[in-house]
Amino acid sequence: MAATSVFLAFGIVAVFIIGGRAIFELFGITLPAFRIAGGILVFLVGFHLLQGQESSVHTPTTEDNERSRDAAFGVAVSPLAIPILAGPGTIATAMSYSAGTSLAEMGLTLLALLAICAITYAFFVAGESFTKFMGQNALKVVSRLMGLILAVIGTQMVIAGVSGAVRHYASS
Amino acid sequence: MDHWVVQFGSVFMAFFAIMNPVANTPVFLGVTRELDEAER
Repeated sequence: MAATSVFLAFGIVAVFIIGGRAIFELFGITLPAFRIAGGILVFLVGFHLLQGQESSVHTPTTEDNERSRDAAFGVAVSPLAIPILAGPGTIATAMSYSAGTSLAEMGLTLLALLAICAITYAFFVAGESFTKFMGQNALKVVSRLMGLILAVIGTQMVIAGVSGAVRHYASS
Repeated sequence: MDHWVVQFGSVFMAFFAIMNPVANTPVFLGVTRELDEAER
C-alpha cells in the first residue's frame, strides 16, 4: 500500500515535471500566470496548516474516504496518492520549478522528487513506531512549521510570477 | 556547482514542505488502519 501510493504520486508529479512545458503550450498559459495561481494555492495550503486545520485541497472529505475504502486498491490511489501526496500544491510546485527552465534543472527537480518519495516511503513503512516516538504534539508542531514554510514558498512563487509578468509586458 | 546545490536544496525543501512525510504518516496509518502489516 505504501509503495503503491508513493510510486503513483511520483508518477503523477513526474508527468507534470516532464510535460509541464507541453501543458503550458496546450492551454496557452505562461509560467508567470502559473506561478501566481500556484503560489496562491500553495499559500492557502500553508495558511490552513499553520492554523492547525487540515487544508481542504489536501484533505478529502470523510465521504470520499468511505467511498475509496470500498475499493481494495482504493486508499492507495485516493486519498493517499491524490491529493495527500500529489495534490494541487505539489503539482504547482513541481511545474513552477521545472517548466521554462533547462533540461538539467528539470532533472534536478525529478531527483528532488525521487528523494522525497523515498523518504516518504520510509516514513510510511516505519509509521507505527515513528508516531509513537514523536508523539502527537510533536507532529502537530512539525505540521505548523511546514505550514509556515509553505506560506512563504507560495508568496515567493507569487513574487516570481508577478516580476516575470512585469518583465514580460515591459519588454513587449 | 553551488548553483545546482542551492537549486536542489530549494526544490527539495519545497517538495518536503508540501508532501510533508512527517505529518502525513499518521494520515497514512489512519486510512490503512484495517489492513494488516503485510498489506501496508
